[in-house]
Amino acid sequence: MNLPGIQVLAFLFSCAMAYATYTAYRKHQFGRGSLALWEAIWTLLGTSSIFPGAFAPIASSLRLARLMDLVVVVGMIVLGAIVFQMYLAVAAMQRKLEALVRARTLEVMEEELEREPVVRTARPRARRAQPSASSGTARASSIRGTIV
Amino acid sequence: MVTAAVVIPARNEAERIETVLRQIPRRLPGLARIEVLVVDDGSQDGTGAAARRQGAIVARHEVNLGAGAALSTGTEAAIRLGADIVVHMDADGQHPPAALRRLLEPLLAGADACSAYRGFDGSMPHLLRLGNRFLGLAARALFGVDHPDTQCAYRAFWSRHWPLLAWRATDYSFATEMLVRARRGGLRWTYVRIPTIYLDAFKGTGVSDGVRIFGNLLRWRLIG
Repeated sequence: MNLPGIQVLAFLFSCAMAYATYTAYRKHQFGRGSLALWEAIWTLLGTSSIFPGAFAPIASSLRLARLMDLVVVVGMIVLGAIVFQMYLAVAAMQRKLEALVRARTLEVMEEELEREPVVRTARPRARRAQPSASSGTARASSIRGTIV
Repeated sequence: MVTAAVVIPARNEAERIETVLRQIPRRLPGLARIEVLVVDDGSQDGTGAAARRQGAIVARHEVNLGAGAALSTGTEAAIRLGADIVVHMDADGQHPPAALRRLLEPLLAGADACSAYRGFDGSMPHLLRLGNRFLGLAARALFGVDHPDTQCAYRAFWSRHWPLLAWRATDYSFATEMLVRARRGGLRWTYVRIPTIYLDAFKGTGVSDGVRIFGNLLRWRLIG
């Protein structure tokens, strides 16, 4: 079998990634479901790089003129799905981190104020009634500017 | 009597924050007391220690979360400390502490909130002036927010409006989100003019922030 260099490179790359995926699984970085998904992706990539003709019927049934078009289209779909998954994961992580940091910040501040109460002079909120903006004689008519 | 808390988000502002804190009046007519609360947003230059030296209460984010998140934390902390009025002020001297009295007067006269606005003159870098105008127009077109300077975060509001105003944005978008929420909630929001001060053209809202804010405006309009 006389394989072009790019096919050999793609095959070696898929093998390396399959090994890296298995190593990550053994380090408990993800579960069996993720292992199966990623190994399937690398196997598919390795197979398609060695036997590109095997996918020709699929390409023709999808009315794609060249096998390369099939690879590009499938690659774009897979990449899009992965990026979307990553976006969701990062956004969720950010929200959790923010909530954690903010809660801890308030907790530490209150602990510090309890230890050194001298800096705190404001009275607790519950001890007095909230002043009303509409009460009293002053009205918004004395205000410069307009309402948003 | 009313208590106010000045909330200052700060990240690596050890050089300037002490000067700003020294200038903040601790007593004003109509107010029992003004607390100063600095939210150290993951600084690595001793900003928190500098603020403490000037008698400020310091709350520290262990990691940098952004100006919006820092002000959100600071506002919640101020309310826990019993503040009736919450004031937001920058740590770098862009917001003159001397204007605090003018900012608070409208609230004591019956307004729900008041914010400062800067003149879009030569003191403001060209690109930022253009960006500010564009974002102001976008906020007006998309939400009907009529404010001369939507990006100026020198603001004061009654703490009872916090549930209505509580923004989700952790970045500079919070300033616009706050105005949008106020508009939707029907708050009486006024504004006062302050001098335009830019001490560091590379700090604060930049071009990428402007793009993000515009993207968020579109998202809030389209998705909610």
